[in-house]
Amino acid sequence: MTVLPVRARRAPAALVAGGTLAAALVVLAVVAPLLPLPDPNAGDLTARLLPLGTPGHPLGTDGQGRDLLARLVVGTRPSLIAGIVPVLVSGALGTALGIAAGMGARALENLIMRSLDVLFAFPSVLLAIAIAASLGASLASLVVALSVILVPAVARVVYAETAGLRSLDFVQTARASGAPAAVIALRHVLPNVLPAVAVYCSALVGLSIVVGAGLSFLGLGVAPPQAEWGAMLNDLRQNLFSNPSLALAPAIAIFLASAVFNVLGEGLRAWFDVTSRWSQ
Amino acid sequence: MSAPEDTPLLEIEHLSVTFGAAHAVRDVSLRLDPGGTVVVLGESGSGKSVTARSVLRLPGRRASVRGRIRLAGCDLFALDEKAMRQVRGRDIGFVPQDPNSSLDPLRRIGTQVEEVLQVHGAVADRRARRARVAELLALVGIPNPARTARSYPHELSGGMRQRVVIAMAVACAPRLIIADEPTTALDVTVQAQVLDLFTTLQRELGTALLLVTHDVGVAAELAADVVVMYAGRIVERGPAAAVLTAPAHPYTAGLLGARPRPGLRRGELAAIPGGPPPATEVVDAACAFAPRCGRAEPACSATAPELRDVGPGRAAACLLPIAPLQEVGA
Repeated sequence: MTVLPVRARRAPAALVAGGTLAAALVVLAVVAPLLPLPDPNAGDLTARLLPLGTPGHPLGTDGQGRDLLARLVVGTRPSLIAGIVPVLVSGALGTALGIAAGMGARALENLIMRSLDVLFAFPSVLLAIAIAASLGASLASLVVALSVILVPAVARVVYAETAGLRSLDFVQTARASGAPAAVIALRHVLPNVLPAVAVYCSALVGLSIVVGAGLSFLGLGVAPPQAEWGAMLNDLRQNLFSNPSLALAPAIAIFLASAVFNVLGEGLRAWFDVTSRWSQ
Repeated sequence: MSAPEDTPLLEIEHLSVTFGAAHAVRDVSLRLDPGGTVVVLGESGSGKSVTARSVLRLPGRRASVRGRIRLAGCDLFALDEKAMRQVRGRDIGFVPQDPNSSLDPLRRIGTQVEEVLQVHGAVADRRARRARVAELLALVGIPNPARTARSYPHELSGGMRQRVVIAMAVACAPRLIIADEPTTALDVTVQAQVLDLFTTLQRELGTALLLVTHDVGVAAELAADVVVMYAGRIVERGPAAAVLTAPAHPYTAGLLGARPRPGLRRGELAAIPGGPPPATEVVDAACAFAPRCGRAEPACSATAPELRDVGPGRAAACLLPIAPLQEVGA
C-alpha cells in the first residue's frame, strides 16, 4: 500500500467552479419571480422583435413583444426542474435497482437488467417524446419522461460498481459474519457506490437539461405562455431568419447550464478520486 | 445445537463442488474435533479455499455443491438461509486472506466489529457493545483499543488490520474459526505474530481452527493435523510432525522440496515439474498428480488411488507411497 502524502483536502478547481455556478443557478431559479423584471408573460405588440441591446429590453423582445431577459430569468426554474428532478428520481430508483441486481440472486439480476435492456433498446429521446406526449404537455410529464429514460443508465453504472464491490473481501467478510443482505446493501455497498452515483448523476443533469429543453422545444414541456428555455427557442424559431440573434440567449443559457453541471461532475470525480480510493 | 462429547465439531463428508465444467473439489471428507486444528495445505487451485468457504455455504455464485457438512452434528446444508446467517459469525468466524481489502474503507473499525455483535444481537445495549468492542480489540492485541476503534482501516498497518478482522471473527465466541490464507498478505515477522494470536485465542476461547494455506511453514508452526490437497482431492493427511518430516505422497514430498530453506545452494531448490491440471481436465480414473510425478508407473494413469492408511493416524492417496522414514529430497 502506498502512503498518500499528507495534505489538506483542497477541493479541485472544477468542483469549486462547478459547485459555485450550479448553486448560483439554483438560487437564481428560486428568487427569479422576486427580481425587478418586467412581467415575462405580458406581450406588447408595439414592441415586437426588438433587437439585443434595446434600452429597457437588454436581450430584446420576442414575436409577441415579451421581454426576453425576464423570460430567460424566469425560465431558469422550469429548465432546472427538468434538469435536476428527473436525475434525483432516476438516481434513487436506478441506485436501488442497480444494487438489487448486483447483489440479488441470478434470477433477480436477470429480471432487472434484462428489463432495463428493453428500455435501452428504445432510442431514449423518442421514448421520452412518447411518454411526454401520452401524458400531455406539462412540466410534470416532462419530468416523468426524463426520469424513465435516465433510470437504465444509472442502474447500469450502479450495477457495475456493485458487481465490483460484491467480490471484494469486505463484502464477503460481512456475509461471512452473518450480516443480512439488507445490512450489507445499506451499510457497505451503498456508501461505496455513492461517489460514482454522484459523479454520474451530476453530469446527467446537463444531459437532462438539454433533452428537457428539446422536448419543450417540441411543445411537450411547459404550457404556454409559461417561459422555459426550450420553449423560448421554439417561440423564436418562427423569426429565426429575420432575427437570428434573439435566439442566442436561450440557446447559450441551455449550453452553459449543461456545461456547469458537467464541470461539477468532473470536479466531484476528481474529489472522490483523491479521498475515497483507499489502498494500493 | 448440543452434541455428545465425542461428536466431531466439524464433519465434511464427500464434498464436491463444481463451477460449470470445472470440478474444484472432489469427494473431500475431513473432520475437526472441538478445540482442534486442521491445516489444509495446497497450491492455488487445489480446491482448499472452496472447501473452506463451502463450510460457510459461500463457495461462490455459480457453484453447485454436493456432499454433507455437519457442524456439531447439525447438517449445514439442511438449514434455510436465515438459519445459515445465524451460523455465520455466531458459530463460525471467518478470516479472509487480504486484510487490506477485508475491511470496509469507509467505516470506522469499531463500527465494523460492532456490526458483528449487532447482527447477532449478542450484546443488546449500545454502551455495553462499545465496551465489548474495546475488549475484543484488546484481546487480539491492539494497543489503545478505545482510540483505535475510532480509526479507519487505512490508518492501520496490515498486521493490525488482520487483528481487527480476527476480532470480528471471534466477536461472538464461535466454536470454529475458518481462516483462508490469513498470513499470506503479511510480512514474515507479522505472520508469526498472527499465528501466535490464533494459538492464544484457541487456548483462551476453546475455538477450533480450520486454516487454509499454501505455506508449509504455517502448517509446521501450528503443529496441527494437516490435510494436503491437490487438484480438488485430498492426497495426504496426518499429524503435521509426521507428514511434514516423512511425507508418504510424492506431491507432499515435492511441496517440501520446493520450499526455500536457508543454506540451500543455487540449483538445489527442487520445483515440481509442470503445473497442476486445470479443474476442467481432471479425470476421475487416474491419479491427477501422475503426469508430474517422478515415481509414476503406468498403473497410476489408469486407477484413481483411494486414501489408504500409511501409518498411525495417517493416510495417503497413492498407489506407490513413499516408505516411512525415507529422507525428503535425499
